[in-house]
Amino acid sequence: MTGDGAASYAARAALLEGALRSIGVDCAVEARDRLAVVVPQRAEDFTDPTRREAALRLATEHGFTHLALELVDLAGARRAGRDDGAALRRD
Amino acid sequence: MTTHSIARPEEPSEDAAVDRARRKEHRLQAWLRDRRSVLLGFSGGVDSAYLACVAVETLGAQRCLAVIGRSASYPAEQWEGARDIARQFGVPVLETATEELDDPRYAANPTNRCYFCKSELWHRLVPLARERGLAAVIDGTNADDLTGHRPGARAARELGVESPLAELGFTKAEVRLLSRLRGIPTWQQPSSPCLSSRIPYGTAVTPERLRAVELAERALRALGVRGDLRVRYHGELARVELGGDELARWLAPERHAALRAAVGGAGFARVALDLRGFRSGSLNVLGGVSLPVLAGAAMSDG
Repeated sequence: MTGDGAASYAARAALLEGALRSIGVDCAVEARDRLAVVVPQRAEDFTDPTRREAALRLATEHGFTHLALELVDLAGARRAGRDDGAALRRD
Repeated sequence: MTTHSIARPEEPSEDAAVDRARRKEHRLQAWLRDRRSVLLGFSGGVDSAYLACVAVETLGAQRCLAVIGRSASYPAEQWEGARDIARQFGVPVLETATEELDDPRYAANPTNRCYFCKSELWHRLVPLARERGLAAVIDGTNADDLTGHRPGARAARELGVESPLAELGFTKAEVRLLSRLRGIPTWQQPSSPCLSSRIPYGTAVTPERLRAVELAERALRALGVRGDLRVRYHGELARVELGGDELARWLAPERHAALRAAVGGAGFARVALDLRGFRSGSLNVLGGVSLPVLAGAAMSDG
């Protein structure tokens, strides 16, 4: 992908992040070409099939062909966050 | 061999479907008798396993040879399955190493990567058939495959390889149905294309990357993942595609740690579950292979 293309997808990722927030999903979105990787704040956000469908629809609307949920160790990250004040990765 | 549950191929009237499929099988047997002897490119997948069994039954083991092309892109589990089928059904098997990964045109992973792989395979198998006096070289391509993105089919055509299942109009469902009726265990086996199909176009195919994908998929099977499964390679991140109800099952937060550990053990630092689940040809979509040839067609390179 060209630099412009990467920038374009990064911008789309930011927009998708906002759109997902509007359906109650707090997360960071990382763009990898047409793949959007969701780094969640709550692991259970996508267990509801209706919300999952809504998220997939939003991803498509924002130009992504794939949406994937990163399986992060949220408990570990929170423990580490308490220790050093770091937030979950949001790149 | 590991088997995984797949819905039984059924139609509104299974009797009618069985009749139709059996008529095709009779035509296939006639087709094989016309050729008198065959060398079959044998992967141990659903189609080539069925074709090998019918060929041996029709022509006898002396007039058939199933050849397995082995390389890093061919999963060890499938190789074991192929050998099991051959043993169970008396199919004579020969193994030959293929070196598609040494071809820079293949390793660069262009959208027509499969062409270079199949070209390498058939350039080995066609002379072998001649040496052994086998009249025809055949593969297990079925009629459904003809609608997908299959650059490998061109290599077969160039070298005169024939595809009787496609020629006679066998659908994948019919191959599964006839396999079930014959007791061939692959009838319910998920499709299993080569491991290179897990690597996005344009990302180099290397033995190390193929090995990581293979190990991750094997670890997920050991964890209890059933049905369709692909681990897609995205550098340090593995994107896992699961079929059917498996996605909902593994999205449960209490299962995430086990998934992370299984895939992480194969060398991936990050693991993600694809929220759309398994899609055949998923990386064709990601790679922008949505040319007219794919419009409205199943994408079927894995």
